[in-house]
Amino acid sequence: MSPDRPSPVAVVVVDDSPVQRRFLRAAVEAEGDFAVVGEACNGKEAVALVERLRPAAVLMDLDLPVMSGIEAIERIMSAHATPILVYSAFVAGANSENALEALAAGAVDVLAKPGPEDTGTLDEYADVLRRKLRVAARVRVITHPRGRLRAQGLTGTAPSLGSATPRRPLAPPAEPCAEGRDAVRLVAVGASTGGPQALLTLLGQLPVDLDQAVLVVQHMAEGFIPGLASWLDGLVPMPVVVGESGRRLVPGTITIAPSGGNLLVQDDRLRVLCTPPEPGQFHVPGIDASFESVARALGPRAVGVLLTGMGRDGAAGLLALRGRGALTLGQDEASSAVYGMPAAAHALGAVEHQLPLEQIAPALLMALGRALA
Amino acid sequence: MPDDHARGPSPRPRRGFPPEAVAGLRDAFAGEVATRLPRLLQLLDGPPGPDALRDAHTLASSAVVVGANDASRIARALEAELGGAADPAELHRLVRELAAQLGAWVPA
Repeated sequence: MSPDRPSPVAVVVVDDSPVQRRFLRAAVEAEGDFAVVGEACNGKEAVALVERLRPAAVLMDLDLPVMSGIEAIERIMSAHATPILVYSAFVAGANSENALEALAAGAVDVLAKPGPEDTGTLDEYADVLRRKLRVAARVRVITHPRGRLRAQGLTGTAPSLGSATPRRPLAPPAEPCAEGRDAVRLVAVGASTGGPQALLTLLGQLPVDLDQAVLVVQHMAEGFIPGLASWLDGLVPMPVVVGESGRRLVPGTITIAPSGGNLLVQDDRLRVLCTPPEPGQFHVPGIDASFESVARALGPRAVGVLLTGMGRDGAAGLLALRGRGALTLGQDEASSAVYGMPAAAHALGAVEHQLPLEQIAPALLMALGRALA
Repeated sequence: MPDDHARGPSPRPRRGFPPEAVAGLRDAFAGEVATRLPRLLQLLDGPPGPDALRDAHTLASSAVVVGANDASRIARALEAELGGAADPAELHRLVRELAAQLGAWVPA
């Protein structure tokens, strides 16, 4: 090793198949920037190995003997929070709910193992794996959100706003008026890396009879959005659907922007239009595109919320919302899996109130004049 | 152990995945077949054992790594059958097909 070259990043691989472990080791170590420091054959071994070796990242299968991958992720994230990239055949297509379960348990990202219909080469699979791992290993993870929720109770009393410094009071309007917050029609939420578990925390606190429609834009690969919707639908009070062009966003319903393009709100009747991504658009579905459309269509009758995520998508959109008089909330650094998008929004002056994740729903409901669910 | 040419379809061309790593993968897969295929063959004689689903699942994923995609496809079908209301006749057919595909990988 050259003295000026940084030490390889330590990785633990977890899979009950010796074939997969060999492949993962060869793939991960191929370019010298990662070193596999330990291998585990089941979830229990994985938990022990992470505790002992404290790697910088973990590559984890889900279908494991002795202790499942999901349980292992939960245990690792509650004890020694470590970026975990799930690499499993159980996360694609009809099994996409497993991907969301893994993300909710604290995994940073998921990658489907190649299947019999895939036509790539080992090198191509390895390239994708290393690319994902490089991103995952940089994520600053936090202690298992689900464990924290269990400890505090998902529907407990509203926490105080703590150290947040509101620029205008988070209180219901004194009297109804057309442009007041009681006239808010839509809550638009954007999220990326770490988003599913953050969404679960936020949306789990919204009441089933919310008067506003909720639009969620979560960066996610093609094919995973229906699983996200189905997974959230089973866990949060409000119904969750995937948006479709020509439909309207409905009060009391959470609509998730479909993958593959952008979801735009066309007018104050909340009709939506799904459009292809812009040339060169990296994040799909795009949060900026949705937020900017909401700013145009609703202005102060919308609320924008930007959650954890890498990059800066959503920052300009949130600024547009704030510029049109909408209340804008951003997740704070301490509670973000990745403080990228909310940081970019904060730097732009787009965030009116920056809050810990678990205080966003109470703040939102307070602004809407509602009690916590 | 059979030579490489006897082990089903050759993996697709690679852009430099180290030959020793490829050889190691093929050896590991042969070992996995030797362990898991006999357990799946027991399906011909009785109800699925506790590991049958995982055996089919693991072989399906591992087969892709060594380019044995036809075997992977059959193992996936077997996995789906085991995960649902398994029809014994269909199970037997799939196990036989899988054994035929993977036979060349079983050490002599």
